[in-house]
Amino acid sequence: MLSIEGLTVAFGGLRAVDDFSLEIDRGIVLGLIGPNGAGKSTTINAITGFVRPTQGRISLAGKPLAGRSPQEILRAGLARTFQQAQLWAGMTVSQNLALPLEALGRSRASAHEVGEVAERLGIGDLLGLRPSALPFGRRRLVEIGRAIITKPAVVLLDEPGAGLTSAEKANLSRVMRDLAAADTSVLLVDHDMELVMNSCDQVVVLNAGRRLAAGLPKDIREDPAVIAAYLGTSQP
Amino acid sequence: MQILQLAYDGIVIGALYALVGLGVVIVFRTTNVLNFAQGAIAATAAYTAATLIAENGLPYPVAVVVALVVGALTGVALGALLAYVLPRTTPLEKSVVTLGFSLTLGWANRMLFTDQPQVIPRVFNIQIHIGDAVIGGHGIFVIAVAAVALGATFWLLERTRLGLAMRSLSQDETTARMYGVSVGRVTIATWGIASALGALSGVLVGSFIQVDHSIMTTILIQSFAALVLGGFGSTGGAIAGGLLLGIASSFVAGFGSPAFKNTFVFAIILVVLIVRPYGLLGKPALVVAEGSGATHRAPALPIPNSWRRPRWLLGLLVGVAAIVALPWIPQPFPLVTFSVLLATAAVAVSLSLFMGYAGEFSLGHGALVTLGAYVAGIAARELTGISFPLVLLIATVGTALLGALLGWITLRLSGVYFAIATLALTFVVTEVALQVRDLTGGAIGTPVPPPVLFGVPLTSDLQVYYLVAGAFIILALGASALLRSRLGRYWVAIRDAPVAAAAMGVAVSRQKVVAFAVSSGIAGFGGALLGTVVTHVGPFDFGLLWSITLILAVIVGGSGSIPGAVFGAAFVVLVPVALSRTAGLADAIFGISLVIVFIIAPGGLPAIASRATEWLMARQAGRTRTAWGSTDAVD
Repeated sequence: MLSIEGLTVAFGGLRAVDDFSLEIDRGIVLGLIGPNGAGKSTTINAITGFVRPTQGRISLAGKPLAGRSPQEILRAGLARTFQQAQLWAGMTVSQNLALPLEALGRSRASAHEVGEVAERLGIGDLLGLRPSALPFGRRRLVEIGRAIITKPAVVLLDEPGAGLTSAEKANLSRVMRDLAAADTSVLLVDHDMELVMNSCDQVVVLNAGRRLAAGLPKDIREDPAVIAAYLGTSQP
Repeated sequence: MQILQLAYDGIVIGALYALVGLGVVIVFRTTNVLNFAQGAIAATAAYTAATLIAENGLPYPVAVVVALVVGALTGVALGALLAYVLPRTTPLEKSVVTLGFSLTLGWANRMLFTDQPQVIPRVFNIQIHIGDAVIGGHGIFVIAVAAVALGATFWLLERTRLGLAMRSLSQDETTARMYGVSVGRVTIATWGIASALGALSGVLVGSFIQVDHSIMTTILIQSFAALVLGGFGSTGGAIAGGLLLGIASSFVAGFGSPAFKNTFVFAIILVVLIVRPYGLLGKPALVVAEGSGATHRAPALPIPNSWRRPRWLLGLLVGVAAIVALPWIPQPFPLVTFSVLLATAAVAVSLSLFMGYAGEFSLGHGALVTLGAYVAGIAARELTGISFPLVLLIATVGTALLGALLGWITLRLSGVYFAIATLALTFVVTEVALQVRDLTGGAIGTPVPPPVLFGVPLTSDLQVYYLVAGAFIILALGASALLRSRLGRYWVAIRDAPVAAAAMGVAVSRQKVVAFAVSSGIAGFGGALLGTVVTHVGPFDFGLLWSITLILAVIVGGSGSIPGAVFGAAFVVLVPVALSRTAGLADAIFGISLVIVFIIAPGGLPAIASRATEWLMARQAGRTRTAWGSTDAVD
């Protein structure tokens, strides 16, 4: 599905991401973890067209994406959310959800699809409100809704669990599993080991821009290199 | 030898641009505020020096030092106003406040000193002749003083702890605070140094030619151009850009036509922005900047389907009824004042949509209005009997296309470049209008014949009023529909979270251009109305001052609000009429009210209305609770 080969992003002399490769299959949740400054955000920004890769290939279902604009990448079937809430404050939840469809020229069916996505995320009763009226956890859900409304093949969630209560995290975990079950792959970037371990089929660990380990969640949890990289602090 | 003369003249004037520009850069780098009052501060210092020398007989060095201190203190006062009285305003809003400060300072100078240009005696009156070239001693003095001042400032910024603290402040105020930077002290130092540089340029200009408010404003605008040329935010760029622009414009004036000097400057800005968007010495900024661009005060889009609600319909009916009934209600103003008001409101709508929803701001709306008014005058003159709706259409489409072109070049960059480009547009339109006499009538301007509707020329004030009223109502409904359209949503998405907008498929740059083109078109529409109402248009009618007044109208009315645009227009149109145009007083009132609006109600009238509603509801709630026997205080 989404394939990243030899991705390198250099800022001047600093290699934020260094020869990193990743393969995400259809319908799985893949966790991308790593300590602060490991290059997770840069990887996401490079995949979604916000940072131009210095080197490397990125492709979705065989279609090359490296160097494309964020708009083209969304159209190709790759959507994302952001670490800091990036909802459009001047619009209702419903307008927030519908805009990506409008921007891609698919506004015809938008009312139906907005309702469907809102139901799936359990925010159907919030459609008429503006984001400022929502509790934090709900805003996160609206962001996810906005990312999945265009029915992307892969959705990239940048720290969606940050600041959520444990009930909200459980719900988030369920949402991601549902997405995967509906054939939408999820690339989850998060600090919360419990969320990652509970939701992911596979985990890739990034450290200093390089791939440190990859495998099943339970193997990653016990990998001595990973534990060392985290200094043991993330052991649940 | 002409080349030597031109190069020398260019270096002298370039050194002055560099002095003014460096002051602007220092403030911008530390506070992200574009200081439009730098010219007025320079004029204040020059007036001070001239008065001390001429009237008090003080020796030149003493007078200059006093003038520099006065200039620096004036700047510090402005900096303190922004930092301490208006701490919660955005850099953009603060930049608007500097415009208001500039207006008020201009008025204060007229009151305290004189409204005549001042000449400061020269220190060195010697002249050196090299062939045909005349190298004036004062010019060399200017170059030497500027070199010392620029060198000292450069060293201060790049090599001292204060310079480092100033830079850290512009990056992130909170972090700078955490690392022990005293924000207050650095802010004061910044404004003091920057304004002293401006003051120095004012004093030097006063000996070089003569000095007043408008001369310093012109120099300020040239130095903005120099900053774009050199790369905004770079101190070296400010100096290099100033010298380059000075020399280049000196050669253009010498070998080409001095009448098109501003147009040449504008052309340079545009070419640099196309070829090397971050200036000759500037560095590209980071591509990804997360975090929201808008403040909490930015207006929200109307709730979907709100136009079906009784409240909206009632508001519309009351508004239309008031406009229709106005000529029959006894009031102190002549009817034509209200025609001007509604035409101004049309332009205010154009800027209000742009500022409120696209989140950018323009100093060039006066220029677009001038163009619209000329179109009305020239079309009606050349095509006798042309139907007025067709005139409006030509004015709208023409200015929209111009706006699209300007936006395409400048809107890919940060708002600063766009603001400067629109500022430059104001001067270019004036200059071109002065030169293309066959079409525009030159400095005298051209009459705008009565509008023709269905073959009938409308000549009475009442007919023209209803024509303008009808056009305004159609425009207001159109603007209201626009906010409910996809375009309105794109603009708000870009304003509130540009990065997310790009990620969700919005073509950010293109939509910004569309927003400015739409706003420009409406401004041209309003300009055609204004020209028709006033029955005349000249090159100076809608200059920079007018554009600033329009920004005030939008801010007073609340940006993004269509009824607010009418109230704002009423404020800026009726206040000067009520004061019967007492020279400069209206400017001062406008400048001060700009500050007051930001202090008491940063969202303008809608904010006042919603606060009043909240207060009433809180009182209501308080009463109810008291009735239930609760003793809770309601705050």
